[in-house]
Amino acid sequence: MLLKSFLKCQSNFKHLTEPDLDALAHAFYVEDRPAGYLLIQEGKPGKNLYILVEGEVKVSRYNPLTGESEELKMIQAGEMFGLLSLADHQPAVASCVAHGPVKVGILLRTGYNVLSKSAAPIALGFQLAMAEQLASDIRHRNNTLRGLLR
Amino acid sequence: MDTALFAKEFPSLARHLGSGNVSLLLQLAKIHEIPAGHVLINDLSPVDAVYLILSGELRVELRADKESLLLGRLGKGKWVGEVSLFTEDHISSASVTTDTPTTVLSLKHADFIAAQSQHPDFVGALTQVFLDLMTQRLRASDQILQQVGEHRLAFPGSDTLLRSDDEATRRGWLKTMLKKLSGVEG
Repeated sequence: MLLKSFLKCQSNFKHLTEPDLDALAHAFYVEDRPAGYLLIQEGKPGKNLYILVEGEVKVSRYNPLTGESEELKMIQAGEMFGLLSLADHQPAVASCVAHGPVKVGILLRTGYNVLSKSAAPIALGFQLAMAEQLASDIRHRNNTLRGLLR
Repeated sequence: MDTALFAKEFPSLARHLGSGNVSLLLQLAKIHEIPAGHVLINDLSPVDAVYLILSGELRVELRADKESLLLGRLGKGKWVGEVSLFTEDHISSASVTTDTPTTVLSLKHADFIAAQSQHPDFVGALTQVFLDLMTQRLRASDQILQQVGEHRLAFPGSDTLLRSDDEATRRGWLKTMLKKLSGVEG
């Protein structure tokens, strides 16, 4: 499947024009990864921004109290991940592992840096997509905290 | 407020936006004076604007049933309402209440969205501000969870409570810990 067609169906990328979607799709490369593949490792610097095209990715974090890895959420197709670590240059807060075979779009840090700081129209569409993903992540996180209160 | 006063009061933001965008922000946004104790944003309710705090102090909380968790206090130069700006339903993810008499600059979500086609440079500059802000908020929120998980706060008796087989005891400890972390309880 062409990545452009996939991106076009995602609400996060609704701000992008056809030519911008084309250009953005070319900035990503798409890879298949097997079940159990470690895409992001907790505590390590982020290298890439990912968009999940097919399958599911499990987000988990080591809990030193139990000594076990605890699942935080399951990423579904259309969601981006790896953004926080790329944006603030701090280590990843959780690990992301393929839960079954997955297809992911991968944007290297260099591409992310160009798109996140540029004033070009394609960059604005990309930045709005990033903002929507971060807002969604904050809402999910706050819901987790809210659940702990109950 | 004019652009010169804005630049004096908020130099970093003014430099980032540029004078043209500051002027546009001041045209589009309105100043509101709010008394202490006013709920500016209700948790899990629709929000129609993003606010820059010009003066005063506000607290940001999560609410669940009768419990609340203080996420932080915000003052001059901080923004609130940006998370709902970037969600489809524009529903808030926390409540924001004034602790003191407060003045805010209110930019309607509808005006921000309309500006995407008319003033992309303005929207791009503000979006970068919000991206940085949300990154900081997500990281800060994550640290609360991390601290709970790692039991970094000194809390007498917590080891015994954590080893307890009683679910209610463990949950009671967790709530107390969350409140301690949030600052709701001293």
